[in-house]
Amino acid sequence: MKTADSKHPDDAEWMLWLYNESDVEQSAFLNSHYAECDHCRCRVDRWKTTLAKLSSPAELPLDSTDVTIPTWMETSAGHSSKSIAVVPRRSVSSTQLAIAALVVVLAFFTGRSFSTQPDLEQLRTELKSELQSQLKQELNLSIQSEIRQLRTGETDLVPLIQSESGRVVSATLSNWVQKNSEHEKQLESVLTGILDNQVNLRRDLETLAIEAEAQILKTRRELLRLSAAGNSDPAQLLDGGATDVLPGNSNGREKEF
Amino acid sequence: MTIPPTNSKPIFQTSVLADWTDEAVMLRVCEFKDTVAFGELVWRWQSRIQVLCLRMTGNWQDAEDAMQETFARAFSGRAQFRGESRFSTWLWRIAIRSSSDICRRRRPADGLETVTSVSNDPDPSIAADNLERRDAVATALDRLSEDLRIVVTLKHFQQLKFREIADVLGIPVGTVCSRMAEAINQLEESLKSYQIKERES
Repeated sequence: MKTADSKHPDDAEWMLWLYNESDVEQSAFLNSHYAECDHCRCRVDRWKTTLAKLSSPAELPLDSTDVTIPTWMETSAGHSSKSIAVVPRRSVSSTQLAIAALVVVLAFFTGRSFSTQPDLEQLRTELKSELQSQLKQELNLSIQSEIRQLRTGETDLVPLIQSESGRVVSATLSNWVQKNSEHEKQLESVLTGILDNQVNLRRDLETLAIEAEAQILKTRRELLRLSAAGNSDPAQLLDGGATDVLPGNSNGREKEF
Repeated sequence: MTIPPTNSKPIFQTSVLADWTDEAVMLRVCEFKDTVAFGELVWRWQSRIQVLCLRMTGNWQDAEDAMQETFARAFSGRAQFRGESRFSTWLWRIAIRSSSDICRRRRPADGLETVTSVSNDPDPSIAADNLERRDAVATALDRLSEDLRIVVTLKHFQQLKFREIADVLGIPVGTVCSRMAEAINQLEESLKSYQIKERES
């Protein structure tokens, strides 16, 4: 068995090569390796055989124009012609092809020569009606879209309503502020009156207090004078009699003054 | 009242959308919730998604359910498509997820009803051969693990490039190729009995 000297490519590299997706350099290397290495060729051939046994894409409900079959599948040894549906099973000879082409050409010219002239008027009326219906549909659609646009235009009213309500609210607010200021003024005048009364009251009280103090001093002095005149201890007299001078604590001596 | 300026969208028809790329149509679906545009995408992709779901689930009924779920999820999750990746990659992912969910929901008692197809071959012996081969392949595919089956389905039956499969599955290209090789090895083992029978015949 002949084997290549170089390292064997891995499965991923072979897969890319199998589906013609490896780059040029890699492809060249793998081609030469495939030709030289029996081990790898055997492995890859087994893969080819297995893949050829899978149902081909053409057998499934797929658009056949989208299907591209790798080249190796078409030339896979001994299997492709039987198992893949897209590969023709029977070879068609060139004579058969020529006959078929001849028949097609003859049929074409025969058809051309025997066919009647197309009815232009009928075609025109058909085309006209078709165009009219199509135009109607398009017009309907555009009208509907315009109606939809108009409906969306109703949203323009919202800012108007908002501005109007804002004006009403501001007028109400200014009225309220005006009334409030009047009330404030009234309240201020009342407060000023109360304050004046308090000031007057305080002044009266202070006057009273000063007068009372002056009276007390006067009384003390009188007491001192009296004590001096009667040779009694003035301090004792003062200590014992200070409270007696207070209003509401009246006794006989107060009556004397 | 002032009439707002018209910002009417152009009237799209399927014939117009036919020239658009999948990504452009999907972005239109995202922007305007355009069901007509989405219908165009369904029309373009349903057969391919059906094949994927069929190979993933193993029977027509589940495949049909998975396909419907795929498109339903694609429409409801349209906001997730931002046009950064290809539409096909995004849709394959959804289809794989839907199929996996259906397979998971399927009760074990139901068993796997293998994919059976009708051969159009006029020769009865060839038709029988084909049917037998397809049944064997379907059974072998069902025996594969889900990871390997996805790779085989996307590569062999959907003809995606290994790079595209890597994008769909979010794994490196090397891993995809390795999985493919592993899947072929397992398929080879599973198909041995069929090969022996074929040789005998």
